[in-house]
Amino acid sequence: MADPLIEARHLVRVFGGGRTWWGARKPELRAVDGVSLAVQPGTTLGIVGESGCGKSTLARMLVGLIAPTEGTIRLEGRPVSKLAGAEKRRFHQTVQLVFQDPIASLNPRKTVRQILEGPLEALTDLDRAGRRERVARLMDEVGLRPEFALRYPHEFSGGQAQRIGIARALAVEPRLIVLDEPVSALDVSVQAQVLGLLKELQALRGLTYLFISHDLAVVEALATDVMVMLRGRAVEQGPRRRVFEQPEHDYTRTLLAAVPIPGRRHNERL
Amino acid sequence: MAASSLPRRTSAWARLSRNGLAVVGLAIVVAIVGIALLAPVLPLADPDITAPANRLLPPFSHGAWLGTDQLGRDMLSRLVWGARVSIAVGVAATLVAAFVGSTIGLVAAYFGRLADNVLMRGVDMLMAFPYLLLALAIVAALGPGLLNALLAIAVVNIPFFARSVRGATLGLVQREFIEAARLSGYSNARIILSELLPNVLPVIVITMSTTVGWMILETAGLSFLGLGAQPPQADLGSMLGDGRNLVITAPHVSIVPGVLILVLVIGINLLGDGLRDVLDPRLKSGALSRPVARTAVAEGRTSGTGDKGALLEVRNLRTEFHIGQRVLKAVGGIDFVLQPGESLGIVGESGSGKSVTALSILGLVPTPPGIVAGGEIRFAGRDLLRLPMRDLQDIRGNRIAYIFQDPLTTLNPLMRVGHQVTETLIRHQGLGGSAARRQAEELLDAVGIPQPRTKFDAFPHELSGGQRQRVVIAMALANRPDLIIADEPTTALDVTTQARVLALLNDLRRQSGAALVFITHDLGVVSELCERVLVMYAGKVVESGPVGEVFAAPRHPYTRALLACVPVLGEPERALDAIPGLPPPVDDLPEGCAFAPRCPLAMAECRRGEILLARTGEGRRSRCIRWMELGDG
Amino acid sequence: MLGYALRRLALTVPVLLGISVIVFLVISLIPGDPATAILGSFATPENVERINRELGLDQPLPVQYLTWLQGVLEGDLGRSYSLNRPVLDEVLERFGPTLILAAAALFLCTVLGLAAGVVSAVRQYGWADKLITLTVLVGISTPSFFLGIMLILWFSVGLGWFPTGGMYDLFGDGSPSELLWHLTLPATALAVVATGVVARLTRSGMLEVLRQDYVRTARAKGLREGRVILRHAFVNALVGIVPIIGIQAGFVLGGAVYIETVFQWPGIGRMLVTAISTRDILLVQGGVLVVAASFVLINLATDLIQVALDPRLRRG
Repeated sequence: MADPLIEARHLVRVFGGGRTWWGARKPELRAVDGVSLAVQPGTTLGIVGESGCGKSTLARMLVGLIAPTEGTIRLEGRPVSKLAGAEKRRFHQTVQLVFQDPIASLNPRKTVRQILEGPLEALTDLDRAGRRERVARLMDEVGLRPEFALRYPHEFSGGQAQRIGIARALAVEPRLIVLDEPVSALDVSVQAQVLGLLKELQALRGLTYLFISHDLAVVEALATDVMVMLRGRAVEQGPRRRVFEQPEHDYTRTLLAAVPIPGRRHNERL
Repeated sequence: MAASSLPRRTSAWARLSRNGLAVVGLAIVVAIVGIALLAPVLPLADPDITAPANRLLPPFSHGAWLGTDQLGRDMLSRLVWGARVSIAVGVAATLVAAFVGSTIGLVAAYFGRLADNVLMRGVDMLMAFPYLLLALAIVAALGPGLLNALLAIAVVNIPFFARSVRGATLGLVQREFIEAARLSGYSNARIILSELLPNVLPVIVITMSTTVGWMILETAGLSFLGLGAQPPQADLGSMLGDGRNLVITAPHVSIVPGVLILVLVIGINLLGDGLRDVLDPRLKSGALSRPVARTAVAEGRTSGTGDKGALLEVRNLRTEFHIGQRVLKAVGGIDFVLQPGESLGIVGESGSGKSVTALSILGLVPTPPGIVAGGEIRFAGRDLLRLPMRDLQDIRGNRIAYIFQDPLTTLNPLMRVGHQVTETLIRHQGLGGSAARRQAEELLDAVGIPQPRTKFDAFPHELSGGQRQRVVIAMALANRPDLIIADEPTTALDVTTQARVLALLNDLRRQSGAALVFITHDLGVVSELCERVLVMYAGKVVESGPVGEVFAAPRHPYTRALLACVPVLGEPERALDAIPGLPPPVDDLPEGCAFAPRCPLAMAECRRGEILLARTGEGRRSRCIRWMELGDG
Repeated sequence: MLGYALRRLALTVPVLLGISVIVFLVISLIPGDPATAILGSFATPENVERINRELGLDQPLPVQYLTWLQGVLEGDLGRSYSLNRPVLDEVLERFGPTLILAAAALFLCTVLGLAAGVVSAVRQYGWADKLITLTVLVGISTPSFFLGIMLILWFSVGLGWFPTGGMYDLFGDGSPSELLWHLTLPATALAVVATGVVARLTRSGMLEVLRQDYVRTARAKGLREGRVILRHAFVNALVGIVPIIGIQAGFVLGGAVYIETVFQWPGIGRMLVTAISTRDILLVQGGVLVVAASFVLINLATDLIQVALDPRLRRG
């Protein structure tokens, strides 16, 4: 087996805690409580769990938006410590994030071109012409018409906005993309378009995905490996087929049983 | 109501110029500021030349339109020069306060923690003083004088800018585009200047436009007290102060500058209100108009006949939203009949009109901008659209009950949940307080809330999402309704909670024999709960029939495509066929079939005339002329 | 709730200390030599030195502050040189009339502002709304000192309905009705701007709340409109309006400076204006301190009312 692209050991993130200045304890929340994972290049790790299970906090630690309280992250075999200078630049060139809310993740006062050129300016050495060319190619790859470059985010539907978000994440040609509920804000018909695009891009560029979702059917359709989270912990981890067909943990079974299926009545399954 | 999420861009200027009052304000401000600016070149008498012989001339005197003051100086000239000083000081104070306050607000909100604590505690300290008193203390320290007054007024206004900019920035800092900017490798300074500042600029402008009027008033006030402009320099406030002692013998000396301040500030406030309406995104979308108690209904008559045994009969219902010049046809002619005890699912994507259909039944579509443009809704033989208000209120929550989507926002946050249940019992069954409480506790128990007697006194925020939705269900079932309308009741809940709430709803409904209209985008949920289903697209029913049959063998290309693009648990290998394109905007529907532009089977006839719902089998209908080609299965 | 109230009460201590620091600093950072300013033409070197010693100005600043604070806590705010009596006596004597005036104005602005705002929102775009909105616009644009003069001109000089100023008649009996008669015009002049602000924010607060899902729920339950508006909408809107009323208390206390000057009301505002022009620093300091402290208590009260209304605020 190849070396994992990203590897995390015993990640913990605590919010709150500590004491007030008169010594009273503040409430403490262990949002992520000892999670370890490893993702092989070119595969997709699906992370499922219900609201508050810590999956979004985990995503933000893996892309460097928040620092872990405990634990280590290794990217391409190198440990990721305090991000600064050239190391920070290389990290962001390798790992990018696609957000849940496609509209909120775009600055309403910038055009699509400005949004897509942003990471290129800050993270690459491309000149103006090079950036223009890269933006045009990106927009073509994610299925946005060239004339959209001068439009503002509010002129787009949710699905189109998410294509812009995906293009921005792809701009610096990262190897790993963390997708935090990328289709949960979209209608089903548009959701299928975006899922199709993600599969296509993965095949085309050999991307590695970390796909976070509360929707088990979506994860099953996309992931090679699956991790199930409950209250900050990973209760079950393994290859997709094994987890979905022979779940070991009670919680995984409960989750699977709770999903309503079109054309089937609940009672028939029980 | 995602239908309204496609705003037309009109320039801020065009929107401002449509606001009559704002234009009046602008005219006043431009006129006064223009004259004040032109003071040096206007043919005015010297404002400081005294002429004791001509003292206190009344207005309209020869050579002095507005009269003269106690030293015989020309009032008109003094007014123009005084206005010049007042405006300059007010504007300068506003700019100083805006710059300092906005910087504090931005920095405090972006960096948070220590910076936020230190800066905002300082601002709180300033706010702990009564507004004018702090200005007085500063003037007392620095000594009277116009510049000191300016400084004092600027300082006391800093908190308003700091607080509103901080508030706006806090809302933005949590937005994902700021995280995206960090991942794009931006520096903090770049994020503040290029990501945050452009987005809070409207807030700064709004705060400036609302405070500049006060600042002119307050500097005038300090001058009035003799603490601002010192003679011979005069602003409007000091002129008023000078005239105060002569108010009985020569009222014009104080009335003239007073009226000018009043008119100027009215102009500024009118303009400021107009600017705020243009710049505030919440006001822009017309969101601040409150819905009235019942949806407006266009003129129309009841046909008077209908299906005798039906519980609910909807005939050609059309509900529209009138926003400016646009007419969004959210529901474009819907028919369905519901028998007592039956369960009907309405499915569709956002903007398909499914929620609007549900809300139309009891007149809960917000007006403005909603209006029922036509049709009939007959409940137990009575046309709900044309029922007197009081009769409709007797049906609401009694014979027909609603369960809405988000249990957190649908419960009143300041009322104990038990009282929200008893309220409907008292209203419709006329129960007394203790009887209502007993019955509410039984209801809470029936919906599976542990310790119902204690939870009766809980506030909504003290319950979990699932428990809140159980309270909402208890409220809906309280008066044993004949019909329950549930609008995406489990969309905000996790799957495991959803499963439990759906099971509960199903059991209780069956026990009570109530009919159910269940609105959802989730095809799986419909299958679990409903006997029949309506599939909606762009405001119309495209297919209807028994749930099992419709999903097993759809007879409309949209239904088929919808089923094909949803990932289904246990079928990971099945290819997902996305539907190309987007649903059409409901204010610009194509002729013929609304789905034709995205339909693989579409042909020329599909784009012409009205396509009707055709009977395709026992209890099944489809709005497609090629349904026979879809085959079975 | 009680726990919250105690915690909130404890938090006023640092605020009060902060206020005392600001008041102390503002006055002691006066540019130039206060002694010379006080003495004017009597500023012989011996006199200057004596004043500096009396005021403790030969000490370092923190020592001066602590000495001053100790005095404040013992009720010693120094001696007013212009009135030649203890500052505390003068301030307390003047504080009562200001409190009466401010309370009357605050009462007016709360009652009228809330009523106008609710009517305006419920009848949005109707004639009542238009009339109220226009009146409110003029109201918040009016300089209260100008309005005061005009009220005197019309109602006192012109119609003779009310006295032109003062708190009681020169030879009056000091009865409450006499006070009310003197209070009417100044309280009205003082309340106008604040009423406008309260009415505006009540209107927009009500409009905001009326769009909320829980109002739709209340209507879906079949409740009558009166109950929907008052029990469900208004109470929720009030949570946002109470702090606004607290801020208005600050405006009213400050605005009293103008109104007391115009109506010759024997309050603390007029005392401050006189003290500033005579550079009676200790008197300014004492007056500002007492009014600011009372405003802190008003803010405490509005905070507690807000929390009593909204259980969500009780945590933390």
